[in-house]
Amino acid sequence: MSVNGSFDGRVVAVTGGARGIGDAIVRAFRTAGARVVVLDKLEPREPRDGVRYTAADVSDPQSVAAAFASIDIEEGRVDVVVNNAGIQRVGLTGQLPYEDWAAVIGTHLTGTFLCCSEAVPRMIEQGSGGAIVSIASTAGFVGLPGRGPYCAAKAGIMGLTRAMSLEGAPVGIRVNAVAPGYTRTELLQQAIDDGSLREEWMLERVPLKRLADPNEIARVVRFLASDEASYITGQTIVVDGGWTIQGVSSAPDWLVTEQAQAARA
Amino acid sequence: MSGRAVVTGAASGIGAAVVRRLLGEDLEVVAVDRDEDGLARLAAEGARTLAADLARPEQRERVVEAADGGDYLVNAAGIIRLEPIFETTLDDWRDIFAINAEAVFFLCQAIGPRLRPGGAIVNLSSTSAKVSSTTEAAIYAASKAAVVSITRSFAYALAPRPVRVNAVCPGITDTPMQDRVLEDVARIRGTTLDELAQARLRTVPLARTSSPEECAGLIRFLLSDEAGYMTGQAINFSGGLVMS
Repeated sequence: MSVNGSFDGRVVAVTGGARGIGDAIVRAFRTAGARVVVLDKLEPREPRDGVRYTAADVSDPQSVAAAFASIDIEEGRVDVVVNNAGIQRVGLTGQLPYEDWAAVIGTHLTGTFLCCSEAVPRMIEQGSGGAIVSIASTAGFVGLPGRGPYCAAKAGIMGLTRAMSLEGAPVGIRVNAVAPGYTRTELLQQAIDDGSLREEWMLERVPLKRLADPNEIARVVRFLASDEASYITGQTIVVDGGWTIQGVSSAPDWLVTEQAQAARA
Repeated sequence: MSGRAVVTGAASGIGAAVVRRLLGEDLEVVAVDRDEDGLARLAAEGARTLAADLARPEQRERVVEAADGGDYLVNAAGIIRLEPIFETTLDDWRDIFAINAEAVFFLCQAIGPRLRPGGAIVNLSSTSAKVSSTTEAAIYAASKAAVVSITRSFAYALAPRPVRVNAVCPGITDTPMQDRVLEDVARIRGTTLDELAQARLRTVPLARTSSPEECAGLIRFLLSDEAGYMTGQAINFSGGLVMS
């Protein structure tokens, strides 16, 4: 099947679409003919053709409302929302500042809630259903030390996805999530470079023996948003090269920041 | 997509829909079933056909030969018997497990290493592997739970090749098997077909059944490179009936 044209005439909003997996998602939907709006705090390094970038902080209700108001004016509708915006703060519970907790929960979980809060009434009003796909993570299934807020936010997104799928079913809105494993993005590369992640440790645990390419996450997101997935709702699809089928629930000390290790010693 | 796919349980239901979908992708498709009339219909549509009873190891050998050097395997063959859980027998267990679990395991074992690197397997499980609303299908449900486990084990074992292995867990799909389930369960419970069908639909958030063609769309996706980083997963295809 060709995906070309399968999103013709549809408007797709992607949060955090200026970088990494978000940028790959933007390109995947563009390939399929969608009009794409990106909500991001960051400017795109490489703006994509046919994409409108609008500055937005997804953790701020007013900023999200303003971004969707601009969609009303510029695109006039919204058919798909991809909640992808995310940040990372690392630190052990007891040492991680509240502000870091709030920032992680705010961007991932509150951001997903706020964007859906704006999108759902518009989809209902349009009367042609819609699709929401949120980016969870394998971290929502397994525990990672030093990443409490991230694990909690991603598990929270899965819960919100299930609840919203039941709310959306009667009005034709499907709600799903994708849980990527380690994906080769700029952010991940930074973590490898600063020593907070080790590539060989990751590869040891992934049966396919490679990290995900951002496009491999984006294509699953696009599939879930497409008519091909018309009977799929309430699901979190794991895209992790087989990582979590082994039931990983622990991680070595180096996952904990140097600072935290020092404090513990 | 390109190359060769072997589809078991091809004569009807989801298997037949997968054969047609893959033929539409210009794949060479080998349709396997013990129902030769059903196979004849698919032959007329361009599939190669192979009549085999997958409960018999020596007949599975022929499927292995047909798959050798191919790209994709879809284990869609499955049988069901509906009986009150306290009346079902050891013979039922053995017959159901022979097709639904044993054949899936040994076809993955024999064919997986013979698929070309980059190939993929999809096994048909069921939402009954995860929830238990129809105790009359207890053995079937157990066999489908086995499929989820078999899928994980071979996903791990075949990852170095790499061959990806995933499962699909359909909920209520409009197939001949589903019609029989409704008839038998209604008879066992002394209810009408319509009452039973309505009661089952109330458990589906999307409030409808699915078609075999819709399910074939998911299976095609899982076989394709679009799902190139997915392995070991059991994807619910159930309109929200199951979310875990």
